Amino acid sequence: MKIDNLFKGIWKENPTFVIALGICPTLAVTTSMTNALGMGLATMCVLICSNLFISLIRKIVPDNIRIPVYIMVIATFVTIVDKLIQAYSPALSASLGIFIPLIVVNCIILGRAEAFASKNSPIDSVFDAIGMGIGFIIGLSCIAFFRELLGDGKLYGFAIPFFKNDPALIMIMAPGGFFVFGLLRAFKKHLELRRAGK
Amino acid sequence: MIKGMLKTGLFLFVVAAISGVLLAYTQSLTAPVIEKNQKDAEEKALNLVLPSLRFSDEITSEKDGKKITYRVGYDKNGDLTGAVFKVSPKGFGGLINTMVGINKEGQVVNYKILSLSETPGLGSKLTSDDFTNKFKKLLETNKTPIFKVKKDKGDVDAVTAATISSRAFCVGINEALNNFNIFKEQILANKYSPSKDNKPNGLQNSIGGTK
Repeated sequence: MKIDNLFKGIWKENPTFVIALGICPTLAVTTSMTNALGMGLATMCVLICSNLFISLIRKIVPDNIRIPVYIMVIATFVTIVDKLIQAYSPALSASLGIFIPLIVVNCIILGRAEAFASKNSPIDSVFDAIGMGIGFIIGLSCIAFFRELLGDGKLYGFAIPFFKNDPALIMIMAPGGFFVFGLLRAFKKHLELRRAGK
Repeated sequence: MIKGMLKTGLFLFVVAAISGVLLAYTQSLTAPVIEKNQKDAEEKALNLVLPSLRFSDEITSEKDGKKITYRVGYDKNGDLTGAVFKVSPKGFGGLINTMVGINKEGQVVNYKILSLSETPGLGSKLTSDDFTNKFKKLLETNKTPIFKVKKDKGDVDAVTAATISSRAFCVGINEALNNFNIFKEQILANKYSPSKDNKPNGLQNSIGGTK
């Protein structure tokens, strides 16, 4: 058990800015902070459960068919969670339900199953999932912060003075997502290079 | 070689079977509850889109080979208040299931989006207070608005950066209006009958009284 597994997802191996996994849902939902948080939390829950489960069965899954097995496990899991939320928590479903189908196409889940959970113990895998989940929430929130503020003049749905007057629409559309994503990635690299003394 | 293939095949088969059983079980467990939730949400939406004391069950009308289903509302005197239609225009990401209330003069009273799968943050803003309030204001200030987005020379303020979703929404409103106009006589001919329509509406059940 290594505590490093918990923290590496936040900065060193941030899923959004370093491994660049799950970019499709990232660009789609980062139009507002609320959506970023919802998507991030939903992904984190699924990631923790799938990492745990895949780590538990890692020794009995034949190596050559591991990917189809993982996909089946994840898809089953997401569908069950989706149905249960819809049935027993309609309020949560109304605010989060829109993201759940997106989680299935989020390659962070399969990426961590393949790269980490299939080779490590259940506890380490859960730590990895929590770290990656937090990293994903931070990544999404950073992008959404700039997009919602500049593109909609709001944060978490509340209008911000000065910005609300004449928001730059392009920022909440797809090109704005790419701009912010690219600039933030470059900024992170810049910080790292400076720290390395280059 | 053959043995290895059989083994992996069998393993996949077992995993698929387990997930199949789990999914089937979840589906059978949750389907009735989900359906009931949707029904409840609809009952609550009824009073929002057409304030009335009671609502009829679903009524089907036919004319010139066209068939529609709708529900009508009654006020406390048992007079008809209008009709509620469910429409599902095709948006950017799927169907936008909308409930539209139209009063007996043929004016749109309000709408409620029951479910949609538009892009979160863009088309999904059709359900936001911002859009709802603007639309309500339009209904209050303009008795005969053109239900088209402003880009198409209509009166509806489209959701920013979501013209396709907003257009689809307008298509839904117009469909409900058309249905009302085509079937006007049949709709207005509905009479309140205590034996059939004596159920209080859903909102009354849950919050207690709408008077």
